[in-house]
Amino acid sequence: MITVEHLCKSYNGPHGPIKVLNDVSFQVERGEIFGIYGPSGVGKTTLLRCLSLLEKPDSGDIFIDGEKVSSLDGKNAGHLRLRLGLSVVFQGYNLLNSRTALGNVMLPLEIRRVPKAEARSKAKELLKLTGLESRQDFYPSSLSGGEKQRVAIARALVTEPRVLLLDEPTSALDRETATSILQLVEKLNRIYSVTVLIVTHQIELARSITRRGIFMCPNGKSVEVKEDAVN
Amino acid sequence: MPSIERTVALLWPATIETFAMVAWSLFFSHLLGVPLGLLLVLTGPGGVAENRLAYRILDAAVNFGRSVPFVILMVSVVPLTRFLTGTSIGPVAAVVPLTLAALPFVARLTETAVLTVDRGTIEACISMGASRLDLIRFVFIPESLPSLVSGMAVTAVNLVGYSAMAGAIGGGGLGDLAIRFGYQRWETEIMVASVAVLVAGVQIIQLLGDRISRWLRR
Repeated sequence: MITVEHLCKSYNGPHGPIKVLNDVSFQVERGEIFGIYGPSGVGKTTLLRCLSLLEKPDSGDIFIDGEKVSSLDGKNAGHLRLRLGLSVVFQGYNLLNSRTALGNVMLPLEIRRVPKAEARSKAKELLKLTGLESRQDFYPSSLSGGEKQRVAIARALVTEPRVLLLDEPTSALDRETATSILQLVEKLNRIYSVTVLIVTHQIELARSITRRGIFMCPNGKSVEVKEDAVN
Repeated sequence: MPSIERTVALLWPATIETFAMVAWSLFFSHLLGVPLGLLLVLTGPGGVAENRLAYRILDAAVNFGRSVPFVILMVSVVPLTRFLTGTSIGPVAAVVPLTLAALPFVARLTETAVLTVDRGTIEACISMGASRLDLIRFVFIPESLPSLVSGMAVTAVNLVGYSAMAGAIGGGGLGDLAIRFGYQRWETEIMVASVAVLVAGVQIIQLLGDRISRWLRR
């Protein structure tokens, strides 16, 4: 379903270009929960940004449902992201402080011009599923880190995406909350049959729900990690 | 010595004129200045519609507008004031130069306020398929509203000061009253009372602005 072939990406550093992604290749099956592991600063988020079409790789290809998506410009990328059903949960939650939890979850539907009543009912359904029914009228400033993450996940799923990309979903949470978030991801993966890619440096935690993945090395290369190797 | 009744009778209409001038010019300057500020953000460095030439032109226009002293601006726009209001004296006429004086200030305050919106939030909305108009409607304005309200209070306070200057050359309001009675006739009580009303007005505007802004920051 998702195929990444020989992906390379560099950034300009003070002493010349820094190769962040160096010939990264892997494949993700439909409905799978796939891990992108590695310590901080090895290019995991860059890889996720390339997969979510927010950044263009220097070379290499990304195919989603057989469609080559790696060479698109910004405007076309937006349309394609909607068409392919790509949804991203960012590391810092990125919730709108001016909106309640319910308002935040409704936002992607409002952007798609879904009628308000329908958007509200769909958002409430997702908040219920993520265990935040009683918090729907709370603003992000009144929510805990775990609750914010649940809102961000509900917001990402409200449009019923086919691919959910999660950037360090548990990095700012205590172990108990992090486990509950991962269990929630697994539950939503089952309910919606959504393909999930998790970027994380917490391999031990993530392995409870991922079957396969890649480990990103400091030189920008990737090593495939299978279930046996992780466990 | 003027009686209290006379002072109140003079102050009341002048106060109403001053606050009407401030309110209308505040309204018009935001009507034009907020979109201009948003254009600065959209076309500015790193903006979602980055356009170096457009930004440079808008930026220079705003800087130019802010550097013209108010008294000179007021005199130089008399033909425009006459064209728009049919007169160049009185509180209605004063709204035109007051709006023009506040407009670039509002644009800059809007730009500064919107630039404080978290970049990640903007990117998250782009990833949801938000257009530029969606970004303005759902992110830029609501997320920067507390700062915009604070800026509005600062602009209103500046306009109170400008309106007093406008009064000095026939704009009406408390400035006109203070000049005609307080300065030209040397009626100290009228002068002191005018200043006291202006000071109280500024305090109320700032207090209200701070309260609303704090409430919006929830």
